[in-house]
Amino acid sequence: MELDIREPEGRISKKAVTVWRLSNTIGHGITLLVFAGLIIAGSRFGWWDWAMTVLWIFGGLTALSAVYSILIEPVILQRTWRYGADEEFVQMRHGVLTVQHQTVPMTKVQYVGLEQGPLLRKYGLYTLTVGTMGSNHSIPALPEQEAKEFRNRIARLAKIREEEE
Amino acid sequence: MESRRMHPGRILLSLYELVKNSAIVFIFLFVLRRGSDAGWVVAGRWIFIAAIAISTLNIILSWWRTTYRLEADSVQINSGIISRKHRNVPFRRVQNVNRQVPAVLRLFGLTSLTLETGADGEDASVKFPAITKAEAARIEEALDGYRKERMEADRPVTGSGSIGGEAQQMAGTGPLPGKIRTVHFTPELKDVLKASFLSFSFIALIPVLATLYSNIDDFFDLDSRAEGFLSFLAGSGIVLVITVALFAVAAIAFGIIRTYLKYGRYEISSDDERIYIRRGVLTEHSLSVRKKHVQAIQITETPFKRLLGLAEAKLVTVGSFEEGLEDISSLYPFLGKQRAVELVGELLPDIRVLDGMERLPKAALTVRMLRFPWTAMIGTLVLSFWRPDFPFVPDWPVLAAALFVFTYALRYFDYRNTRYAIRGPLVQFSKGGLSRETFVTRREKVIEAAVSQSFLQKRFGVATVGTTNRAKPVHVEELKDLPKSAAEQFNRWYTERNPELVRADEEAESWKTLRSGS
Repeated sequence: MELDIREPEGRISKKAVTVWRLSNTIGHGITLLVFAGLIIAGSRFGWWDWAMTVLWIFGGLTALSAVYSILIEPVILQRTWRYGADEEFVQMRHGVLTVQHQTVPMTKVQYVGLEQGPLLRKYGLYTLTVGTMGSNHSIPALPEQEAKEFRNRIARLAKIREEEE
Repeated sequence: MESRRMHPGRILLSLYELVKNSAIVFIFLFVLRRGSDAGWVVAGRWIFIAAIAISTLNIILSWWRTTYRLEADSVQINSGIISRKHRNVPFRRVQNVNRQVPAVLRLFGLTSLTLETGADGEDASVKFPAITKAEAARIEEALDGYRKERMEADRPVTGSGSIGGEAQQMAGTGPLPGKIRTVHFTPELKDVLKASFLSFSFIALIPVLATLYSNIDDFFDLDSRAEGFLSFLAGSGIVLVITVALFAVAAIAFGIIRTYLKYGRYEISSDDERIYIRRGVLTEHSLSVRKKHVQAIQITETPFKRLLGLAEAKLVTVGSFEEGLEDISSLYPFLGKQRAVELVGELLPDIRVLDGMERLPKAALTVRMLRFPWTAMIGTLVLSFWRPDFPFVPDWPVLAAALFVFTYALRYFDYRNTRYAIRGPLVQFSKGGLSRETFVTRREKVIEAAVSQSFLQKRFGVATVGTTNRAKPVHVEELKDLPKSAAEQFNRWYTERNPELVRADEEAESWKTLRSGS
């Protein structure tokens, strides 16, 4: 029984899948290397049995989560991301297992910005951040044109009435 | 307007603090080692004298170089002996006004005043450490005067219905700030007695004694004397009984005095514009906050207080509080629940604790029981590795079983206690397994809303809703496993009810029904 909530229309770039796959491969690759190093060192120097068991368990869990977050998660995440803004609210919807709907009123938006790391730059994408008085939200992987338009739109709508400090 | 300095009492206050902080070093160097000619003691004395001289000079100069000026809509503060710092804080940013008056200041008829803003970091507040009461009143009036002017200027704007922002709209329809203060609560003797038992402050005698003991022990060898005393006690039953009784009497007396000093002269009052809370017998603490700046109300009932039907209501405000003032926004922690709820209604015309809240559906209980018990699982794993072996402690499987029973019992109690209401401009959540917490806020005070649904929740048709309110740090409230329809209603409540589109009389109407309902 899915929630009957009006969803925003905007979708993030398809290239997000590739970017996430790359970054997750790097991240998980490093973690797996560390585990492999520890396990090799442990068997060479004869560490305690329980330490080796723990290493194998956590190493195995990392390998499983690597499979999930490289092969499966990016596709679903990209497919389920929605964002949008009307005169009143910025809305975001995302999540694979848990679906999150977030609503930020324009009046409470404090800043909006674009970010681009090396991977995103390679694919010409931007991450858009919307900051309120206490937290901030990111919309990942927007193509340059859309990112800039959306930023300017929020900036314009949020600026009209900024009153209560 | 002209620039002013703090009252010269500021110097005395700083000197008093200097003396207080350096007393132990002084006693050590000049009293306990008075006969000593050792090189390091002599050097230490000269360094001590130099440090005191420099600090004194610094205190006087920084008083001399700190000035402030009240402008039409802001306050300008200049400070710094050599590198100067100029700050300008607009009145519209001021959220709370606090006073903390230590006994030293009161002797001179002075007060401190802090203006708290919603900003972060060291510039979040403007502190006047020592000013006369008349001057403090003048500063507070400047704050109010600015607001009054602005409200009058806003009237025609809101009348024509242009973009105005919620704050002005409400200010425009409300009455002009009256200066008549109503006192809503002052504790009687029985309240203080109740408070002193319920706050368990008599237990606080133990750490106080321990600190005293270890401080004295640094200079005198108490340990060996104490041993002798203990063996003397153990030798005679009557002496032991008398000692314990004396200690109990001392602890209770200490508790009552301590509680009296903190909560004895509590006073909660309000006028049309602001809420005032003051407390403290020796050191006086007070808070004044605009009603419009109260973001939410939080009512906490600890298990002990629930047994006795007590509750603590707290105002959630944006400006944070300096040390020692953290709990000043509480409306007396030992009120009967009914009275606490009434008090909220008396103080805040816009927020009302709702009656007749909805309970969670049965499906929510199923979802909660099905959730993976991470804490209990990890606890069991740790126990099975560790296998604690102490006298009187049962074996680890028993402990693990107890952990699971506790986890699931807590889930059940939390399910039983959870309630919600979405009505008019208000939303109210109530939850907690052992302690119960009730949270109520208005739609326009919520700066962010979230609805989420996990895979499990989707199966059983429930969802989680959450609000974020301004505070420092932000106040995040979450309620799990509402029925799907209520979560959708919550989303509509937040996105579709535009405060600017709601007519003022319509708003008033919903209030009337709420009042008669409660």
